[in-house]
Amino acid sequence: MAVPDVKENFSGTINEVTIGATSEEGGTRTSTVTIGGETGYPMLGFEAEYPHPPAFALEISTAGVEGWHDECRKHLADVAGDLGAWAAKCEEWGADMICLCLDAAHPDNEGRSPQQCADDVKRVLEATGLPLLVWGTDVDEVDNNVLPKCTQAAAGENCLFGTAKEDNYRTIAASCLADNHKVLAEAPSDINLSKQLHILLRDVGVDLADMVMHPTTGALGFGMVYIYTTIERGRIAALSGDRLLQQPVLVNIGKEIGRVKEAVSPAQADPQWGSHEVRAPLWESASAISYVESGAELLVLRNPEALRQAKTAIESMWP
Amino acid sequence: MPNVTFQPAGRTVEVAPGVTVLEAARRADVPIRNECGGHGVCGRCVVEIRRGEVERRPARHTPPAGKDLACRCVITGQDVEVFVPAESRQVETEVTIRQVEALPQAFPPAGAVVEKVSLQLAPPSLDDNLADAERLVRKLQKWREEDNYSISLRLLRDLPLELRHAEWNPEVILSVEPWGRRVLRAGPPRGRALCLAAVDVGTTTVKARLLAPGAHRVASCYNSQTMFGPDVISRIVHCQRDEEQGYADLQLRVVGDINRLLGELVRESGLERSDVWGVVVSGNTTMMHLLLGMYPIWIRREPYVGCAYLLPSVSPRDVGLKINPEGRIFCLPSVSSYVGADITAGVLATGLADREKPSALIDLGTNGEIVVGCRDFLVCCSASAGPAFEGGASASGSRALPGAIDSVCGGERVSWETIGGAAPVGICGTGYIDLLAVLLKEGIMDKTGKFAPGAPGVRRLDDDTLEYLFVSAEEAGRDDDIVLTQADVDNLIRAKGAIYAAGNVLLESLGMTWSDLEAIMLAGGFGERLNKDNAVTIGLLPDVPRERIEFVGNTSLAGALMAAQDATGYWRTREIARSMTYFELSTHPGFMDQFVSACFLPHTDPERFPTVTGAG
Ligand code: FES
Repeated sequence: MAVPDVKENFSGTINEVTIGATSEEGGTRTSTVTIGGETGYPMLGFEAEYPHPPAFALEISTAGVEGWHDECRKHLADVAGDLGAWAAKCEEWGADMICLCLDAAHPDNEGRSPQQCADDVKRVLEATGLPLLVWGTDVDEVDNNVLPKCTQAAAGENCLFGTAKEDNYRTIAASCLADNHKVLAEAPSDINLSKQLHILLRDVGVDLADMVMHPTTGALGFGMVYIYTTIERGRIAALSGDRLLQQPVLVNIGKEIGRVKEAVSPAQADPQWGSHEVRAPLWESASAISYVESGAELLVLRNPEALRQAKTAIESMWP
Repeated sequence: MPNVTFQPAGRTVEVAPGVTVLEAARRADVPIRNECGGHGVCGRCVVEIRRGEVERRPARHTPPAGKDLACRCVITGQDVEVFVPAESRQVETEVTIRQVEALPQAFPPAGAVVEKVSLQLAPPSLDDNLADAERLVRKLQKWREEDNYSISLRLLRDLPLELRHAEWNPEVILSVEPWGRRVLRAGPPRGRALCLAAVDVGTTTVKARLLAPGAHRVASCYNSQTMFGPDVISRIVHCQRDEEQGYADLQLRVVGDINRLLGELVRESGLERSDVWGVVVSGNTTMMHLLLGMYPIWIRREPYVGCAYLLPSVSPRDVGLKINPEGRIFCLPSVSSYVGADITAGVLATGLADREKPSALIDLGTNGEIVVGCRDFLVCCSASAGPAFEGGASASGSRALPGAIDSVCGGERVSWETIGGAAPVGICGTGYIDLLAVLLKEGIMDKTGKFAPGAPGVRRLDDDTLEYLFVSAEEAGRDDDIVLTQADVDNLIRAKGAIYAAGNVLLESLGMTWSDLEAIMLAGGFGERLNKDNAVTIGLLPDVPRERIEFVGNTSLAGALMAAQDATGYWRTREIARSMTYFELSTHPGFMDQFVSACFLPHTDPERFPTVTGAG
């Protein structure tokens, strides 16, 4: 008896989004990253196209590694004080992109000025040829002052800027439009809220194809299941033709791992959990791999060892 | 215990420390507005603490300098004196009278819930020595094909005298019962009209209409229970707060309201209260409980059951209604704790249960109930939408009264009209629907309802609060501006989202869509000037051909009226209540998702609203 053909055909495709611009494209990047383009559920190579493997960004922060756990810090001791060196190091470690967090602009930190932040962006762009993701402070007012300066400073480089949220999207959308960047749209763990935000962004002129969505992130054991199913649900809708959910998905894992006690607690404090050196990167890479299986295309990590593990794993299984 | 004195009323109460000024005011019977139910959100309960110290709790709304929110001030050990300014005082108690079509002259019609009949009895004789009561019943049995009559002991005691007084030609007044008829009176002709009344006890508004020869008025007033909170939940909470006192408060209020309305109507028609022999009451389940003094608290606790849905007729003496003490009160039946008699009345009034093809009835009142059905089936649910479309709980909300802004137009300048062309006093339901649609179209707010900073009319109150100045105080001719706050918009969007989502869930479980419905009938007391396009633009109503959308007005009152005039209608409401299938949305797995996607203008799925979004 012939084996029946069980391949599924979908009407929708995930958008392809390219971040970064080389000199031919009017920028100064030495490489670009393209994510998306899938035509089916994740990892089902027999029935769908997967033109681009997931991309990994390493996070660097204008506020340094203050508050990061030891297993991260040990890799960064030499570079944490110098954004340029830090970014270059990430490139060396194999990151596809740099995620620059403007934490220092946060009023709880030093409250770095918009101009200083723009200078930070410039410094990173000079130090690395990788495409750039710039992450604001999550304080609306600060973001609205800081991000326009930064989009301007990075004009022509086709960066990804975030985050645009339902309560605060106008300024970032306008400045990304003006300076030709992509927009990272963040809505908390609900596909309806994501759709709504995409509509709002489209209403102010951002093309649906120029958005990457962030359904927020939970670490393994700490809410990952919610986000995982949100991404899955979004994927089902997107592949069934819902254009408002066809944006590729980003998850910001490194930061979340920093909040997980099981991942950050040193071995002396919790000997029953075993070697911290093994545990910390494993928690981060295992989270990342799971998210790839849910459909996420762009993953932000902190720990270079986690990056190595996750990349190796994904390479071995990517269809 | 400390004393709290309220000025200018000059009333003092003694309360325990820990009680809020708002609560103290209730106990002192000084009504203070509290549209948010005392949560520090609406900013309507502004007072001035003139003497003594109180403890101030944090609030979302900041009162003007030197003023306080009564709901946020807690009495400590000290005596205090509180001044209640006029704006905060008026929990409006005025009765409004509206002209409607007159009833036919001959009243009550045969077959009404209470009827009058003149009988000629054969006087007793040695050959025909039946007792007086049996003699009366024998005659009645011939008058209507009906075997069972009951006469109360009180009536029996007077019966021999009354019948002889009437020289065996008595006038008999009877009311309907499931088992037969009850004799309410038998005696010499009174020489007075017999009238009935239909009453709709809404959470926000109480309405009454007299059924008397030529009567053509509907009287309405705010449900004065409003001083204990804007919605059924806060009322029930009040019942629990003070045990006995709590629900006695509420019962007295609503009975008082009905008595006031009937008093006005009777006076206007040149009648007397004792001419009213029957009242048919409709209202949501909680209102029925509170009217009859039945303890309602299990309505709001899982698994949400009321005391009784199918209610017997009761004596006005037991309720405190001031009509003829021998008369009867008929309460229409509820379906569940959140689909009440107002809805069964609505189904009766609109003929939904007799239709050949499925249609929907949507009540935009406080609960936002939806019924879908036809003569073959009826399903219903409650969206718990809140009183947003009745003008409740909004900063400048108003019932549909003269002066309420009921229609808004966009363009260069946002313009408006009021009911009766009077100076604007606030915004009623249809006004809000228009206003949202207009602000959306003009880009003054986005599809989540957030105001655009810097848009015309949008002003900043503080770092993260914007509001829309709709009509300035000078233009409105009142003390404060008529505004639309961000909280108002959020509320309205939640209300419309809940209604649309509830309808969707109901239809989906029937395997139907909105376009399968022959008619979508919209009931509610939110103003008659509903702009259908605007209601669709904001996604309150589905995007169906507009002629399928009908505004049916207050069907609760209309149903009560029908039931009063014709007892078959009264019995029909019981069949309707029994045959309706109730969907509990709070535990429905798909509702929350539907709700979130409907909390957007018009909807998260643009394809559902092709004529609005251009998607298709
Ligand atoms: S703010 Fe006090 S009752 Fe609403």
